[in-house]
Amino acid sequence: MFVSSAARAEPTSNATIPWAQLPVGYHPATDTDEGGIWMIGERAEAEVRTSPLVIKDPALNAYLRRIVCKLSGPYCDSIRIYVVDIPYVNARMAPNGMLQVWTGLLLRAQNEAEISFVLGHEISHYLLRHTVAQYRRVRDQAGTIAVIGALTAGIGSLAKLGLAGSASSFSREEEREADQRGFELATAAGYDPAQCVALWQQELAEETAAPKDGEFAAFAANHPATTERVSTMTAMANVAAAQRANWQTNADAFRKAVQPFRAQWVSENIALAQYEQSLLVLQLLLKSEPKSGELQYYLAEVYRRRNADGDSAKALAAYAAAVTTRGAPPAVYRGLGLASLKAGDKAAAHTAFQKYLAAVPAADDRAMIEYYLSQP
Amino acid sequence: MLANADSLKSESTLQWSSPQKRIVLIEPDVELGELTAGGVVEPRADWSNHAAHAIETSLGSALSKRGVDVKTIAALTDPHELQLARLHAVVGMEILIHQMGFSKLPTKTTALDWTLGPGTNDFRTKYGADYAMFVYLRDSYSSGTRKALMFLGMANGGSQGAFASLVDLRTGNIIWFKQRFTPGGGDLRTGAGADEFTADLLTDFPQ
Repeated sequence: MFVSSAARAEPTSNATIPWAQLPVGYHPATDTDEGGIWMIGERAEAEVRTSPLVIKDPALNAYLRRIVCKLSGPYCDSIRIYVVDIPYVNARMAPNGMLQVWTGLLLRAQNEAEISFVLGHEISHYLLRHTVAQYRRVRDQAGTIAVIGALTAGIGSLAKLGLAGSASSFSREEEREADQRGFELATAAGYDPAQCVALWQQELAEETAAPKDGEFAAFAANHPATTERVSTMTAMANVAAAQRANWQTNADAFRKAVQPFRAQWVSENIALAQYEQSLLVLQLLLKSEPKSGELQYYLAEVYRRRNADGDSAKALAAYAAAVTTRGAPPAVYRGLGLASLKAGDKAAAHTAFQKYLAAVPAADDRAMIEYYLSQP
Repeated sequence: MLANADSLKSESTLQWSSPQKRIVLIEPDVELGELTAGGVVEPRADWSNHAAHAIETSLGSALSKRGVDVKTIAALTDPHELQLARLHAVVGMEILIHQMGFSKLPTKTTALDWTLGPGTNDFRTKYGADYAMFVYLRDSYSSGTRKALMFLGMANGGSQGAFASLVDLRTGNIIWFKQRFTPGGGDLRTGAGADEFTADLLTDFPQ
């Protein structure tokens, strides 16, 4: 109804991915609404590029780029990946090809196939030019409201309610389309369809556990992992499963790529002080690595910090288990010391603290630990 | 057209460390958009790019006429420079709100006492300049449908808001700050509009 300032022919698709709404290397004309949106995307990208939250590690970036290229083929060079160190599950594609992957997602994924479905989904938003469609919808609805409001005062406010619902996110149809096409890209690249819902199921579990008015709940509201999406994708997976005998998960390659960051990302997750969801995350990780002293240590940390009824006993037990398991960091002795103090076992606490200081002579909390040791 | 122009300065004359008298002109932070019928401002890449270049050119020649050697830094890519430009945008907003605007701070009354920090000294050595000038502009122009609504009295038109600073690179202090909010304003999609904008911006500029 209300046409933008320049009515141009829409770009044509590319034969390699026949449903793509733009050719390889696409850039919109600068006098179009899409050109304006890309400009905003480019400005945002200039900020992201210099953000201290972006992880620039070459190996991790090269690993993710390989996956994006497997999924997007000739469009790979149009997409730039930014690993952003934020401990929430998120991946977001800007209209100009800037792809953000948040580390909360990489922490929870168990293999390469799981993230391939998420990346395929985001790549599909780019290939289908959903952001332009979304923007035009907002602009045209606002225009419709203004004109209707001018002609017949009173109806405008009801329409505004409808506008508020669609303004902030892609429509359900667009999300469904991105799920579908993303699934096609991932399975075409050989990724195991059975892995397509694991991350959504984890997110659903965490949303259920999160306090209703907490920060996590507010975030999850903008990124709905609905049961409807899970059942739709499960159905797709069941149909696709029989199509191949040798689906890939690439769990080893994935683990190798993220292992150097795991301790850091787990710590950042715990630092959110959303302990119910931290427990779910650690339980998920421990399922595939039950003998990880590092994970057992962090599990103990969650119990100690949450400090709800019965947690101090759980923390003590978890530290004690971690101490005897390979891979626990030296801080496990500090944790054991603190938990023992809480339980009233001063002798065990002192032994543990001394082991901690012996293992970490330059500890920045040495003064605090020495204070504990000085108490009779 | 009513124009609301206001400036603050802590120096009325410029102090140069060399006879070259160089000012670095940082690429103006400019966004022009079309104000559509429903009030959504649609950003326009072509208008924005054109206006940024036009303002750069116009400012460069106006400053040269004052005997200043202008070095323009367009298309910022250096992360430190990008951050400085963003810092200026933030500090400029703070000056607008907390010294010139509705939420005045008791510590920011008549004197202009703001700084981008001593990190600016790196630019002094890099470009051999004593001062840097930053410009920030947001502007919108009504679409055809919007103009129809304006005629019916059901909408207001686009507006132009800008601020600019002159920073002493030796200290990082903002020594001159100018704000300019003009309902309507000149048309920055044209070259003549840029010259009018620049002339108005540079009134009260230090000697």
